[in-house]
Amino acid sequence: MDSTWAKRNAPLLAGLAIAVAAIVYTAFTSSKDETFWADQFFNGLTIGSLYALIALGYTMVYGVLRMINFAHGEIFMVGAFAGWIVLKEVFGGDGMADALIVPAILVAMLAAAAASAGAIVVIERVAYRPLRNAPRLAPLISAIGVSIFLQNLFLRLTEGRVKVYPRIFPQGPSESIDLGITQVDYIQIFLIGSSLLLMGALYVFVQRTRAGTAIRAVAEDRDVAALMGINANRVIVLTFVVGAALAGVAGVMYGLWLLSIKGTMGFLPGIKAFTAAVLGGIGNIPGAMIGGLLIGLSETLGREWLNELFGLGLGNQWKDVVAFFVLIAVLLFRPTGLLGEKVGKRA
Amino acid sequence: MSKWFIRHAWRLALVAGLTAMLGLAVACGDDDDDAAATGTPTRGASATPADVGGENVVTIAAGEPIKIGAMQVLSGDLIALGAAARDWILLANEQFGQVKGFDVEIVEADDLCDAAGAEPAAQQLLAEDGLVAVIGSICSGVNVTVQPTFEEAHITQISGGSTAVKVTYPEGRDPFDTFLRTVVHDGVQGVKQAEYATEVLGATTAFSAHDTDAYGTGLKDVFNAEFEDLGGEIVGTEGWEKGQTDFSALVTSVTTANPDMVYVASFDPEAAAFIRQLRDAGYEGDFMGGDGVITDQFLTLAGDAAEGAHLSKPSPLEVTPALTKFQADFQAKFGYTWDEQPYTSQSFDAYQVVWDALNEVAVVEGGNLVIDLDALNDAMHDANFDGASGHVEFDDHGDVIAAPGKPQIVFSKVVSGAYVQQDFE
Repeated sequence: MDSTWAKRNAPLLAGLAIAVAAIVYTAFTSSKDETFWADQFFNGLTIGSLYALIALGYTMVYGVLRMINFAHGEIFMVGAFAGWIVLKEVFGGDGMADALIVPAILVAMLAAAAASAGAIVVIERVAYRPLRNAPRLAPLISAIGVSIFLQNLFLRLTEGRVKVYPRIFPQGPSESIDLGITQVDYIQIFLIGSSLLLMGALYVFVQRTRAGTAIRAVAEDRDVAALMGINANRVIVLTFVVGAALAGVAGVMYGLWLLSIKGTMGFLPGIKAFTAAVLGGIGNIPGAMIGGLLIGLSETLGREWLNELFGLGLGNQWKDVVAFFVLIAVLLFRPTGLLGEKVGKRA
Repeated sequence: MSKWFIRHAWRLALVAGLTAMLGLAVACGDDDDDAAATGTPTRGASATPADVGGENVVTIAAGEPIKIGAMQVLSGDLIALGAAARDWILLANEQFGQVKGFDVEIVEADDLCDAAGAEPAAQQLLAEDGLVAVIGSICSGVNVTVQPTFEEAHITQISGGSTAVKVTYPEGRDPFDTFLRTVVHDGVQGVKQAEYATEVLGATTAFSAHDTDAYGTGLKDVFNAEFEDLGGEIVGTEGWEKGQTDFSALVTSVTTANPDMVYVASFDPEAAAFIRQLRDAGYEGDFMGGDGVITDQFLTLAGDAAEGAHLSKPSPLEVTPALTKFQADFQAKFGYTWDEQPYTSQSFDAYQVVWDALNEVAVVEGGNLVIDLDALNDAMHDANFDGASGHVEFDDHGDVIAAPGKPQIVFSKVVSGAYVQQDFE
């Protein structure tokens, strides 16, 4: 972070500084107490970390293929259903013994990651690879088709009904940690913590392992990477699989937290995560993480904050408006997203 | 820095403009839904546009069926409501049989319960040869979209659900001649809910939450106004889009305001997730919802959190022998009970309105069945009988009139995972 970078990004830094200052200002002058603001902060962080996990899949695939996998939200949904089946059928659902809960959650996450990865391998082979050299729009439309197909397949399998996750994760008025300023639910800590853990693991994987290096090489230039002896097809599949596995785990976390799952559940989180990836700079992995958290925070905290600053009465129904508003405002000044670099002719 | 401002002037202007629009939308968004039931002209005074006398005739060839549309939500989250209504229409279809020797066929169309699915469903039905009437939709958001379409086609809609006031009290025009409903509207329900909230629950402060479609916004407007008239205070009104599952930010707003009760005007999937997250956050006040919430699915989805919730629905109180028989027939045909689904017996009665009217106006001419759609519409308006849901008779707006001395709204409380009806009139 040298001084030229700081200079070049002065407007961005100024914007961030103003935002932070305004948040701190409202926190102290607000009619609502600190507990309210702290609660909303953790609410935003929780949903934001889920967005971030899903966003990684969008951004990684874009990095290597310059393609938006619009079926990614449905991959998240497939993971949620896989985890649900494991928890219900293998571990006995609501009635499972306390000792089984931790292994059950771990197995459900693994199963979800496997199911999502399996699904994307098939989808990639059937719907994306044949279009690898087609015009840019063709795989995009194909992805939208896959998305609609999967939504309706699961709606049909479930007869359009909402399925309920077993309520095994302790949730309730007293299931929280006292931070002094507020109580944070165990489930929120679990979600934020495991998301950060997974994101950290992914970062290490991409930066420090041979496979990760191969992914980065293909992202930089597929043809040159192939000349260096990298099997580009395998790397592309690997990229899809890693992103899908993360989305699958996110699906289980979503189910454990919000309990209700259904065939169309992936649509909105998918769109939000895509937004997060664009906000952070599509193709950039830390960007997706930051973008996810920022979208989560702006739809909860940002809305309340606008209400306080400008005396608006933005109800909960405005949260998406505010989130997308933040996206537009950032993209106007940084079309490549927060951490996105200007890409050359390939972009 | 100043150079930067000049260079980015148009971008800054755009952000400022967007901000202004946001503020403006909020300012206007709050008061656009007070379509009150005041001073609307009566049915006799209104003329159907494009009324080309006697031209709107449907001729059914010998051997062909008469078709009645069942426009219902048959996929997605609200399938529990739509499919139950559809099944009751099918049951009625089986029980009432032919009209003057012609079979009656039910044509199903899925309206998705939103404005996007409404028009395609209507067009699908209008493309059917021999369509004479449409039963549904139970979703007000659908009906406000398709009412002009059916009016133009001279096809009468009759719904066993759809309780938003503005469906029969449209803003800026006369009520649609081609729309009837066998269910009481939210003007009645919202007022009763507010009375129940203050008298039975003793609530003085309420947080009002709703979904943002016609049904949710309409019902919460009626409740909010009446609750404040009765001396209560609405400490917050916030909405959600259908399909939302994470209510944590809203729950924080509610627990911060800590009202005596939380009122919800929406359908069951969102209400169930919302009440569960409320209870998990430690909120202990009362919870009240309406006819969109009181389903078996609500109990399944909300689990223990539903305990003690108060819910209302338009419904008959007395169990007539006719109703008991329908119930048994229904169970035999479809293999599940319908007890706690709203809009079911109302949909059954909607079918009878159409069937009676068909028998009155259909004429056999040279082996074909000739049905004048406008005469059919008149005959449906004149319905007067005791059906499965109670007395059926329509006022000038196409709303059902209750028999004297009979409550139109009943209240239930969730006790040990089941709905227990409360005494309240």
